[in-house]
Amino acid sequence: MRLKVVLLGEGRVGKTSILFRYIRNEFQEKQQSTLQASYMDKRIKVGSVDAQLSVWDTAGQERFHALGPIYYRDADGALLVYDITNSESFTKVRKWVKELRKIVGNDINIVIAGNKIDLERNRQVSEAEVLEYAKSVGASHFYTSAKQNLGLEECFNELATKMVAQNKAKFAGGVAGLGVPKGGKSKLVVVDDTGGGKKSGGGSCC
Amino acid sequence: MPAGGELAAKLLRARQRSAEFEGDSSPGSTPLSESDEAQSKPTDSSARSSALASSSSFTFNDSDGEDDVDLAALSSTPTSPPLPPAPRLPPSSPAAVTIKTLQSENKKLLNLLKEKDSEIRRLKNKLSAALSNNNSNAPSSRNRTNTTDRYNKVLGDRLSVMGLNADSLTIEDFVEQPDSNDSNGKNDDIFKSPGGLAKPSTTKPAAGGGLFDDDGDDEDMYSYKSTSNTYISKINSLTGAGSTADNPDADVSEVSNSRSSNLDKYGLNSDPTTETQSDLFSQPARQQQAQKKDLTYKEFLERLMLPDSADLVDFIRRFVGSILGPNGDGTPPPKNAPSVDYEFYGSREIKDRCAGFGYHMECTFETHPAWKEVGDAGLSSARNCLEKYVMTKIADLAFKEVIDDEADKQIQQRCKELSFITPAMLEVKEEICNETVFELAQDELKKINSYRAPGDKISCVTRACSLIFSAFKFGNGSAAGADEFLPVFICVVLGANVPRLISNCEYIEAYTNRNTLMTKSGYCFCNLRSAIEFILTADSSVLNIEKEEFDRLVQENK
Repeated sequence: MRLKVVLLGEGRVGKTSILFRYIRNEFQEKQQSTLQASYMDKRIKVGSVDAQLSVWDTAGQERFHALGPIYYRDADGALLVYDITNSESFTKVRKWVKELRKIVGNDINIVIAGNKIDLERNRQVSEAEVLEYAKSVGASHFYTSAKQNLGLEECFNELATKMVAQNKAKFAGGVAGLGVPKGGKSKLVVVDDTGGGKKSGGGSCC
Repeated sequence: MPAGGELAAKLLRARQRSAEFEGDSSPGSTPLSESDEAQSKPTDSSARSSALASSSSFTFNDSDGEDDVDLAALSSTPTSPPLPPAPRLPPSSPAAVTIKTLQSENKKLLNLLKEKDSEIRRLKNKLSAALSNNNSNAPSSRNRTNTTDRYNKVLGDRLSVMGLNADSLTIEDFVEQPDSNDSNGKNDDIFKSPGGLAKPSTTKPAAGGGLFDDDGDDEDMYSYKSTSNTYISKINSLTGAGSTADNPDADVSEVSNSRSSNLDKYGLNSDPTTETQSDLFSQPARQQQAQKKDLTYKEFLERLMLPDSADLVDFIRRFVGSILGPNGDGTPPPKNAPSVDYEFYGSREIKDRCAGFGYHMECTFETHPAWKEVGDAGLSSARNCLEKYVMTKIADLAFKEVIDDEADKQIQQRCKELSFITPAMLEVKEEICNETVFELAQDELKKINSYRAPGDKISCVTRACSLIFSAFKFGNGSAAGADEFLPVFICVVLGANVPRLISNCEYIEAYTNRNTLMTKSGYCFCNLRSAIEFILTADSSVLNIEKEEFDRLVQENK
């Protein structure tokens, strides 16, 4: 099952560091991907399901904000990152959640990560506020520190679990007569199978 | 440089010298033909030499006498330099002694030359034997020593070319392979296609190897061995590597130089052979990488051509036929078309049909007995290879469906207008700017129009992205994420100003399977999409400059 996760967050909240740290710890022995820390493939086991996570980094600068939908419109999950020492970055998270719900709907699983927890003493975003907000939008919340490698595993695992559960539910319905595709996104199911067979005269190789 | 050439030059010099001392020669340098005549074995060397110059090759049908010293052949071997003017000795030298030494030297050299020549002759004989047997003995002629090594090598290469030509040649043996062992696939065909081969593909690009045998000739359906004739016409339709050295009018030394350097550079081991086949030039290096779990395009085609996959091939053939029709160009079959075993739909609903076909084949591969052992990675690469195979054939029609001239023009114009945008304007740090790498990335992007299959087009984008990230690595060594990447990529896209950019994107999106768009390639493609979006919507606010300034710059670049 291939799952796509987009990484959203304002510039300098540490999105890239999170991804980089996650890659480095997991793929230390492997050669670094040519795309470095902006794209990552990772196999993750959720229960009995083998999930292939592809994590897409996005540019967080405000000038690129409008480009967001291009990245997340067919994503299964989103990891929204903010900096606990920067309340502005949390405001941005709210904006994204709204946008995601509007454009992708409830199909996208959201996890919110409060990064730079190692700088607790400079905290500007109140914990109560964050937790309440996360709950209200149906998102999980984690504290992370890319610097100290805290909370990253938990973050991605939670997201993967949610996405797998959702995909399973989708596939459980199945599609009559077609055979459920082995993996991949639900979009695959929508594809019209009859095209090839019908139009090339009988589909003898079924 | 072959020793033969040196040898000949030396001999000539020695002879000239001795002739001068004997006083029976005009003060000028001795012409080649004269010195040959002096040998009492006249060969029309100048005529031969010019013939050789034009073909820049050995003449294999040489039927001269046994021990004929083939000076011309030696002096015009591909890498021989022009003969240097003979040094003149001062007339006051001790003539008698010198003449004697020179004469003996002359004799020695002559003998040596004869030896070499007979060796070459032997190899030629071997070659013609090989030719008549349709057999390749190339490797056996490679282990000679010293001076003949070069000749042997050249001859050996030719033998292998001839061997390939005459025996067991499959079409994909000469498929051009631009991307290591990934072929652009213009000339591959898993079906015998006599109709397509009869016409040169230049006049009918859609039909380049893309015509199927629609005569219901079932027993030939899967015969993919090609005859020499098909080889020739196929190879003639190839363009690219070797074409510069293929010009018969080119200067010999230039040809030979460019050839030998090309041989080393690209690993091409071909030479023109006989006159009729002198343009059989493109013999790509067929070095296979170590077996991976992924199937290469070639492995995919090989597996598809096994008898076990016959049903798949038939299905693919009918699908492609339903689009291209019996003429291979998307024109419908005539009303009373004989034995067309598929329904023709042309480009109607082509996107959906391709998607449906891809999905259907994906499921089929998964359960097909002949494809069971390739594993998951193999199956996913099989799906991509199939996509490449089919799309290469139907690219012209498929592209027509998605072309959006308006949008293409718009983005090109916009790129021009915004060409003033520098990385600095998008707050790209100076230390990660590497003009050279960015230009390379632009070149990669520009290549997008030279590929037919959507997967190959995406690869251009992926390579461009990888280049940019490599620049980051050189720049500051630390990890660079999308924050750093996107602005740079936007500048690269702006600078490249690729024609038909939007159409290409639409084409990729329409005909690439969904799974590919979920991978790294998909990520790169997505970045291209968002770069385009940015370029189309950019205004003064995103560049942090005043509106007036922005408008002025746009006007300037219009």
